[in-house]
Amino acid sequence: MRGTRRALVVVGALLVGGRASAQGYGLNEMSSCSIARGFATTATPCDDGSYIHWNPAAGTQLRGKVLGVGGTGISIDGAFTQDRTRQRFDAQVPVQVPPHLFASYRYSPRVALGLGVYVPYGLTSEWGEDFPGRFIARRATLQAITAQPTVSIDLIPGQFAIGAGVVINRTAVGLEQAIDLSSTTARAAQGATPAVTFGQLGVPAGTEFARANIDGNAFGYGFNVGARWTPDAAWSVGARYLSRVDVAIDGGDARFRQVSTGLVLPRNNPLGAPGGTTIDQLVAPQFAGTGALTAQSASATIALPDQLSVGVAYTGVANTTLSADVIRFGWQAFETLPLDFANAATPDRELIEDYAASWSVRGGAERRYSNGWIVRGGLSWTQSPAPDATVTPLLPDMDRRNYSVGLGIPLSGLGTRWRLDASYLFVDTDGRRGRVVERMARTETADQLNGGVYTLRAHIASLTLRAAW
Amino acid sequence: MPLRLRIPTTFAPIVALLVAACADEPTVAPPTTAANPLFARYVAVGNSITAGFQSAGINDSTQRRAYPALLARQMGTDYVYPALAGRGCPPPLADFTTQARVGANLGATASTCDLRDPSSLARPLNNVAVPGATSFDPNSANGPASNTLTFLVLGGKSQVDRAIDARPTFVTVGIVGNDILSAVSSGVLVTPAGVPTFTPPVQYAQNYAAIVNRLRDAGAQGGVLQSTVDLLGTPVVVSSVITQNPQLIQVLSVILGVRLTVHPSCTGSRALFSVELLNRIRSGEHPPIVACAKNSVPGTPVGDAFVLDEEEQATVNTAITQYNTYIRLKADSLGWAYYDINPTLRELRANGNIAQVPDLTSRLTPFGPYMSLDPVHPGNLGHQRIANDLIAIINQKYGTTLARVP
Repeated sequence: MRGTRRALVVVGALLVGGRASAQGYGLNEMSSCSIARGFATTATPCDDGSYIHWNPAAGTQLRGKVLGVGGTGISIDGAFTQDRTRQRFDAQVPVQVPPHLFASYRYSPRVALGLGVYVPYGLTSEWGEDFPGRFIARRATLQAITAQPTVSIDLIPGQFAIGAGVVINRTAVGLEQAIDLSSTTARAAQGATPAVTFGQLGVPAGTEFARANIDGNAFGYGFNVGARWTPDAAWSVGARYLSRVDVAIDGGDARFRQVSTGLVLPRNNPLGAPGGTTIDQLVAPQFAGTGALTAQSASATIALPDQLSVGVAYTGVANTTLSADVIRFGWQAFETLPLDFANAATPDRELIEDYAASWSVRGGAERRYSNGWIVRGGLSWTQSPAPDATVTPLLPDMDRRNYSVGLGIPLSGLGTRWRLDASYLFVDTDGRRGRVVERMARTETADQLNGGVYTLRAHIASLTLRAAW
Repeated sequence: MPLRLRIPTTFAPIVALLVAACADEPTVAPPTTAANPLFARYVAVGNSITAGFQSAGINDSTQRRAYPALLARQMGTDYVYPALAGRGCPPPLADFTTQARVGANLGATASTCDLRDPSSLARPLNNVAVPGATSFDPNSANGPASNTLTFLVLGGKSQVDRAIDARPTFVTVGIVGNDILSAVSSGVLVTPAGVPTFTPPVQYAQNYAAIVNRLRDAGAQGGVLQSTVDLLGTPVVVSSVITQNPQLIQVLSVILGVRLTVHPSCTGSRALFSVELLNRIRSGEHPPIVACAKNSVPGTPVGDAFVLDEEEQATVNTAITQYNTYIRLKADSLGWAYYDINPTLRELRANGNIAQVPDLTSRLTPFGPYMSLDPVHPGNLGHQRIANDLIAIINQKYGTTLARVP
């Protein structure tokens, strides 16, 4: 049944992601300090251990042992307004709290060891039951939890350091998707007479008759390397490359349930069924026995793109750090999403994404006070990698402007080793035209497909408890 | 520890931008095309004329020429109709004299149905009209007049439900004659059991109110309620006077392929007979006799079936008048416009744009240039005229400035 194919197609969508301040399904929310500094932390990462992600070379900056642990609350305010009906559909994304934990140990004067556990890619998109784009995704989740053991080495003490880490990534994906009756076969082919879909009989697109739930997870591996040059006391320059990770999900669990259409066949209908017959009666056999909409497995490969960042920091002003970064995401890796289904009756598919490499420009400032308090601020702009034809309910991606502020609060009651970092980040967008229908071929253009406007804003609050000893 | 922080000016732009960003609204918004917010979402409810049925058939070409399509274009509003694929369902007549249909070279017949165009299944629809619909049908997915097109257009919902899907701001309701058309065509207004074969006006009013009230409750801010067509003033029926024209009877005999006999009861008669009578004679379902009074041929329906005597004509006129009285009052009560098509029909009939006597030898305009190749449905010019009538009424009622269809 074609409906099955369309449902499972989006298993790959699982990868689309968590977004908030980053592009695509990337996540930047690694620590409160780095959020507050606008993520401009490649040259001089924060002192909470998050260098493990931002630049593995910077571990020798830290003395002794450092522990940073916390979480980031992401609240997304998204909506889709349909052109034709002007109806607004609000996203219903629950607040997500990706955690972060970094531990660093200065093993020797020139070597630091570190371990980070964080979420560099993630997605939660959720829409209401009546959202017209639920045929692409009503709910999609992706969590790419990464563990990264890291070593940093000062090659030229005080001037030049390198670092590297092994990325061990466990990605879990989930998708809930409606299945459209209109594209489902109503009458099988008979001889020279081709098959007829319910759509050809008058059932409009967007008529739900089933709901699919698909879950899966897998491990993927990569690396994260960096370099840091400090030409003098005021300036530092950093570069870092996080490799692409391909996550092959095999044996995903696909389940289906029937949804009542409320549709009734009138007398003299083209199917020849008695007047008053419900559509639900006709499709019920698909959900039982060997029907096409019974439990089966599916597999997909998800690409977590590479990242290359270059940054500069200036500390020539007393107690102040100014920093700027440019980062390139290799989203061109997300060109298609091949999907394979265990049921031979379900054709394999490729979702067309056609993402392009994208850039982000970031700037941040930090001011440290003699009483131990720290004030931070940051600005960043991220370019969307999604082409106009791939702005979908899974990930209605768009260019974003991020505004962040934060504080470092010394916890004097716990001694001088402890500090609480707090930050707030506001993600602002202009909105972007997008679609709620599936793109079946590259010949279908954005103008043909896009039927409304997505809006997206996010409020992000983060806390990190930092200890050093 | 006392908090004493002097925030450096470095952070001032960040805070200012953050505050400004929080206050701004997204700048990308859905496009607006409608000439007036009243027409933001227009939906047409109705039957065959509204659906675009012409020449005993319907296909994408006739659908695109239907008056709701023309009206939507003048409104500048989005318009999605249930496009039919290929030759149609059934394909319209292409030649009246041969009764050949569009796509005849591809085997098209009166039973051909190429189903819906699969590339045009977008929802919601702006034209939910279904050919054949009576006042009983728009609120039901399985109404008494359901036919193949009912499911093809509505996909298992009722007309009103599909209309509400579009969240209409403006509607036209054109349930304009099927409640009594079959009675007029058959010439039988009451069954042998004494049951009327047309919708009693009280029932019609109830049905109509249920349709319009739901549209109003769904948020329609305005609309036009269209009158029932005075079927006795259309080519659906023909005056028995023509039976006194021997030359015409001779022509009819040739066209029908039978020797047509006129019964003496037609002399001086003011009866009307429906064009359907000629179809039945052609198909052999009725003897080749035109009679104008009951029992003209004892023991047969000749002179009764497909014939309306003066008393029956009065019954029909009374019913239609009562239908239209209710529609007009309903429109008044809602503050909506009422469109009585009958003055237009009389004008077009008087000036020959609708034939008073069908020219059954004409391949393309047997019922006049404003009619299609069947006696019930207007042709392209007829739809254009209806659209312009509606535009004039809408402009007058709502103070709008919709331009006429050129």
